[in-house]
This record gives sequence, structure tokens and C-alpha cells, in this order.
Amino acid sequence: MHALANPARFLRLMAAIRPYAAVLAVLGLAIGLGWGLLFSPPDYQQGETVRIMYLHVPAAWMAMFIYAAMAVASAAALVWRHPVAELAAKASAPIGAAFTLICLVTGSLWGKPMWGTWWVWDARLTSMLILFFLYLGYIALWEAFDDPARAGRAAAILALVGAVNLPIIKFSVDWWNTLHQPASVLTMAGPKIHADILWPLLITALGAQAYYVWMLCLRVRAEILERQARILRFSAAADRRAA
Amino acid sequence: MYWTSLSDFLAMGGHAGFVWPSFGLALAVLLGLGLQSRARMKAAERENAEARRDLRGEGGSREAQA
Amino acid sequence: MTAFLAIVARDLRLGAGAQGAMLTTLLFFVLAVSLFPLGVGPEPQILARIASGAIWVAALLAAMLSLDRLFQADQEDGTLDLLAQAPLPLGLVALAKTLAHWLTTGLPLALIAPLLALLMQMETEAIPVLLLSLLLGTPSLSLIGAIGAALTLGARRGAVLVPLITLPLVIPVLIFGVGAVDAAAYGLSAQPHLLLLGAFLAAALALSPFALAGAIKLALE
Repeated sequence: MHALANPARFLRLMAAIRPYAAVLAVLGLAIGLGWGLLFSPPDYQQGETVRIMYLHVPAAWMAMFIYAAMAVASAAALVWRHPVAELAAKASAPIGAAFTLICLVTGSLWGKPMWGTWWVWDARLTSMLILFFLYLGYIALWEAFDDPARAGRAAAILALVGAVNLPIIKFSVDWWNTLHQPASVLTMAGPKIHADILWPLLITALGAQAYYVWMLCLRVRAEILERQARILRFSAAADRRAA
Repeated sequence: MYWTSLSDFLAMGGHAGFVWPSFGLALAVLLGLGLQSRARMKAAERENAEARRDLRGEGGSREAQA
Repeated sequence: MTAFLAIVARDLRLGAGAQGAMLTTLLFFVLAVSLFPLGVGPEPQILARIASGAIWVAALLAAMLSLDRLFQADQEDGTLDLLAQAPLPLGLVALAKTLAHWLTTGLPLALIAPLLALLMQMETEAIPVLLLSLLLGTPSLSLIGAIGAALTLGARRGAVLVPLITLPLVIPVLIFGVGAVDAAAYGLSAQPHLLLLGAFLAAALALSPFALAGAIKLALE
């Protein structure tokens, strides 16, 4: 664990992983989505719109997975003062927010032909909307402080508070949804998971996961180099003043 | 392949207005995030290299002043 | 215990600050609820239908109002540093201040809410449940809000950031609170909803001192 605390080692590790993640991402997304678009069958009730599921469901999975990863990284940052963990959490947030956005918009476009409205307050979409706000709040907190160390620790605490609360929020939204019984019993995930549907779904999910790793490599590298640059500039200025 | 003709594929059983914008937006977001992440990384690499030069006192303007 | 109560008393006593905040909060609450009939029309059935939600949302927003100043004054004049070094654990110090905040915001809101419920044509059986749900729910709002306030101490635009951070986290309170009132309005038992509110409060009381202590220590570094 502590072997990774040295930024230089981490930079090398990420540079090594990056090309593989990139290839896996492009292949996974292309094959999974291509399969879903070209080869998988339509739904007998929903017709061709069911193909949106191949975007919506992996996006939802990633939105939740990334928040969990953010929480774990934040815990590591607080407990072990691991500098890269903090940056990994920071870098993850925009990626998670992007997937949440995709999930929300595709959910809306999927729901419109099914339910006739552009937005439906079903339990899953509502939970996703709240998750989107959690991501935005986290990102805003990072931007609110001039001192990056302070911002990082505050954001880490927020991520953990959010993580503890998330199952409660999910439960309360499910509860709320059953209280206000929706007219249609159709769920967003579709009536059943058939092999013809499951495989493209899983391959797309794998591609999305690889995309996350790829983006993480890019963004964490940027964060580390930016921090180093700040320190170097600071030292250079100090040297000049001393001279 | 499920589809028998290109026009059928593009029409998506009448739901083209929902399916294609979905795929379009998803790819646009993923592409946009990818490009922004890459651009930021490149900028960070440049800034880092310049900061190193700055520290070693090799910056062009600084040599002119020295 | 006496140290805890001393902090509560001090915060309540801090005269103009605390009382002014209470007045602003109540005024906002009453105004916000009054806007609903003006917005949706005076039809009694519609008002009765939205009453629980409107009152709860207004209470939520009103309770958020004075949060960003919860720790700020003490941080600015150095009291927070002293409190951090006091024998009483920082988590309990923060709880004491949060209790004082609730006594000047959540509690008055809950007590005034029945009057507003009458304005909103709420069924009379539901009004006691409204009071109870607010009494159980607003402390949770103060606790989660205090975490938001502590995290944003000294941040830019802290006043805007606190609601952004806090509101998503208190959505369960809103859902259970409104659920309780609606259940009572329809003649069903509000107990499960109230129990969930109580459980959330218990969890918040147990866990928030850690987050609060961590956030305040961070601000004082």
C-alpha cells in the first residue's frame, strides 16, 4: 500500500496501465454497444427503445461504482494521509458525474416513449438525480478553498458522509416510490435478462469500467504534475528571493 | 444481424428520435470528457516541464536578466 | 455535562445574533408557506394535497438559512480554537452548538407549523403528526447542516455551498417526514414513518460528532 504513496512510482504505474485501459475501453464500448445496436433483439413491449438500456444501465452501474471508489479513496486519504488517494478521489468525481448525467438523460429518453413524459420520478432515476447533486457538491467543495490540502480533506469528509448516507437515501427513495404507487409496473431494467441482452450489457459495462481507469490515469497524472509544478514554481521563486 | 436494411436500422422502429440522441449524447459526453482530460494532462505536463526549467534557472527570460 | 450545557447556554445567550436568526428563520418559513396558495391558487383540495410537502420543504429551507454562521463567529474571534482545546471533546462541543442552533430554528419552526397547516387546509388529524414529525426531523437537519457548515468554514461562497452540500443528504428526512403527515391525513398509521425519522436522528446523533470534530479540526489547522 505504501509503495504506491510515492508519486513517481504511481506515475509510472499509471503510464503503464493507460494504453491497456484505453484499448479495453474502446473495444469494450464498441463491441458491447455495437452488439446491442446491431444484433440484440428488440423488446416485445418497448420495441427498439430497449436498446437505450445498453447505455443507461452500465452508466448507472458506473455512477454508483465510482462514488464508492471515491469514498474508499477518501477514507484512505484521511486515514493514511495518502496524497495520491486524495487526488484519485478528486479525479474520479467528474467521471462519475459524467456517467450520472448519461444515465439521467438516457433514462429520460428511454422513459418518454414508455411513459409519455420527459421525466419520471421513479425510484432509480430519482436516486440518480440525488447522486448527481452529491457529485456536484463534492466538486464544488474542492473548488471552494484556495488551500488544496484543506480542500482535499474537507472533500474527503464530505465523500464519506455522503457514502454513509447513500444507502439511506436509496432506501428512502424506494420507500417513497412505493408509497406513491406508479401506474406502470414496468421497470427500467426490462422484464428479464436474456443471454442475448446480458452479454452486450456486460461487455459495455467492462468497456465503461476500462474507460474509467483510462480517464483516471489521465486526470490523476494531471493532478500530480500540477501539484508538483506549483511546488517547483514556489521553490524557484524562493530561490530567486534568497539570491 | 437483427436488421435487414440500413433504413430500418436508422428508423429504429419509429423510435429514432429517442435512440439516436441517446447514443449521440453518451458518446459526446464520453468523448468530451476524454478530450478535456487529455488536454488538461498535456497542459500539466507542459507547466511541469517549464517549472522544472524555472527551478534550474534555465528559463530564457531569466538568463537574459542574470 | 455542565460544560456541554454551558456551551448551549452561551450560544443561546449570544443575544442579537441568536434571536435575530430565530426571527429571520420564522419569518422566512411563514412567508415561504404563504407563497404556495399565491402560486397554486386558493382551492382547498389542492392546498390540502400539497400542504405536508410545502410546509416540510419550507421548514427545510428555513432551517438551512442560519447554518453557515453556526461556527463562523467563533472561528473569527478565536473562541473555536479555545473550545477545541477545552476538556470537553470537540464532537460534543459541536453537538452543543448544534443543539443551540436547533433550539432557535427547528424548534420554533415546528411549534409554528400547526398554524401554517391550518392556512394550508391540512386535515386536522394530521396536524399533531406534523408537529411531531418536525420535532423529530429538524434536529437531523441541524446536525447534517452543521457538518456542512463546519466543512465550509472559511470557504468562498460558503453560504451557497452549505445548502448544496446539505440538502441532498437530508432528503430521507423530508421523505419520512412528509410520509408521516400524509399517512395521518389519510387515516393510516404514521408510526412507521415516525420511527424511521427517529432512527435517522439516532444515527445522525451517533455519527455526526465524528464528522463535526474532523471538520472543525481541519478548519483550525
